[in-house]
Amino acid sequence: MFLRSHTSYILKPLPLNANILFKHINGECSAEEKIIVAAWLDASPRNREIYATLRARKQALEFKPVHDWEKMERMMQADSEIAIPVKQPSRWYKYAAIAASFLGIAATGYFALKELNKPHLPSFVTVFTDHSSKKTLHLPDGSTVWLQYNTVIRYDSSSGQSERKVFLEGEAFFDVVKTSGAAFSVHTNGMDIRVLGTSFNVKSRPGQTQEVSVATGKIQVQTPATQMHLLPQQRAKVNGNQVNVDTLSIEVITAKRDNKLIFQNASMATIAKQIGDWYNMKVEIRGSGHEPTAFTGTISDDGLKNVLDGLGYLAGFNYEIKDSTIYIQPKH
Amino acid sequence: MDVNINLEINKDSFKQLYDEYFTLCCRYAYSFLNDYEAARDAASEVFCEIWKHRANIKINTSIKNYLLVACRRQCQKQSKKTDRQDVLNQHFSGQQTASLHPHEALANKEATEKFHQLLQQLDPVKQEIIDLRLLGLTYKEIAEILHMTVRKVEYHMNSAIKSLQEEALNLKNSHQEIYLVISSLLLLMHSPVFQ
Repeated sequence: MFLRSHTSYILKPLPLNANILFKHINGECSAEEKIIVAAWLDASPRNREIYATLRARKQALEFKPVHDWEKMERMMQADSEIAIPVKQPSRWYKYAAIAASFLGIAATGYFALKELNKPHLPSFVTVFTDHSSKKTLHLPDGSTVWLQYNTVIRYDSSSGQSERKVFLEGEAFFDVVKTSGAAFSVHTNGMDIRVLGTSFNVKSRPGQTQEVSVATGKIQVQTPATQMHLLPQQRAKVNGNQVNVDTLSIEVITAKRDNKLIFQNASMATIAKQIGDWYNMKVEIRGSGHEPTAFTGTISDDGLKNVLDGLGYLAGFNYEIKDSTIYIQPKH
Repeated sequence: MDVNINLEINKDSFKQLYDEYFTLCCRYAYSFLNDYEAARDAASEVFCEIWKHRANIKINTSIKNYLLVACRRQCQKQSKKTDRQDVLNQHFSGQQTASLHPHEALANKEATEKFHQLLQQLDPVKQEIIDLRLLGLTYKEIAEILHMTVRKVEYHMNSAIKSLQEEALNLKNSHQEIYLVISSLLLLMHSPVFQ
């Protein structure tokens, strides 16, 4: 059976059907079928180009989306409060609802008319986080902001404004949606950032170097000294009149949004600093003369203890938490 | 996995669905939207809707089929607003070629565009079938999603390859870089999958 089919392939060098080709690309091929595909590929550069095209397409398709179950859960919770009724409401209920909605329309109309006659007054809202909390904020235009510790943000909560302006002190990741025409701007002490629709991280803490790093899109940064454009993966560090631009990996930039700690060849001191920055706590390394570590890895933040347990195991240290200070004791 | 069910959607089973199919839904959505973020949004939207209407949902096909069909509908809703071609162009102009040397990045981009051009010659149905097959679905599953017979799917696949062979002739292959990329892709053939 095998022999017969095999010889027939040799007689006819291209008896390839799409089925076998796609099996090959998906890695579901038998040994026999591999021979057919190999012969087909050998037959002409055109075939190789088609093969490469399909593989490239497969590669593009098979991206790894970030699962955000927490977000889904929040949505589920919000939804269970206004669950869609399974049973039809009774008649009386219906008429009451209709009457109420008319009232509602009339009232909205009245207030809308009143609003129209008024000049637009921005109503600024201030949201802040303290030393031990983070927040995710949804702006009226649909953009999302991930606030880090000790961060203050002020924004105009009235919708429909032509300008989208945000004032920030601290650190936050912005995911800005594109709306027609209206630019989005972030103002910090010493930087003005203008964007259309992008995502980027801003760090502006008093007494520290200010930083902007871009995850997607393009942004414009204006400092007293200069003005520049930043592209994805670029980070600008602004210190007075000094501006440095370097490149970061996309994971590092979106870490704040994805709630992930990322370590790249981190020594014990670097790990300590990163944990300290992340949880806004003091971290001290106990003991000395430990072997140098170069730890690379990513850890989702699901609570300080979990992270320290996992990290301690991977990077090799014991820890202790006392009065908002983390003490790290490297093993060995 | 092929569950024919009258699945009751509660928090646990929903989480299972999410874990198992979210990635696939995102990828399928990407095949329409050509934008990773938008694809993720679309898939999230699909799961949101299912949760919202969980009391009224009756699934009489496989859950995989149900989810993918829902995804498809969601994408069509979304792409109605933005012309598909528009998004594509945007995608390629703004495409990130992360962690590559600029020169490599350029070559890679050109090649991707060229590849894409090649697939673009096909009619949308064939493109979609190819994408679904590349995502690892069987002919039977594809046939169910697109409401056609398995034979029809097979026919589309074969004629797609045939017309690709013709189209490839017409494209000018003046760029050397594209061959570099092709040969590097062919190197992948030595990966364990093919051994």
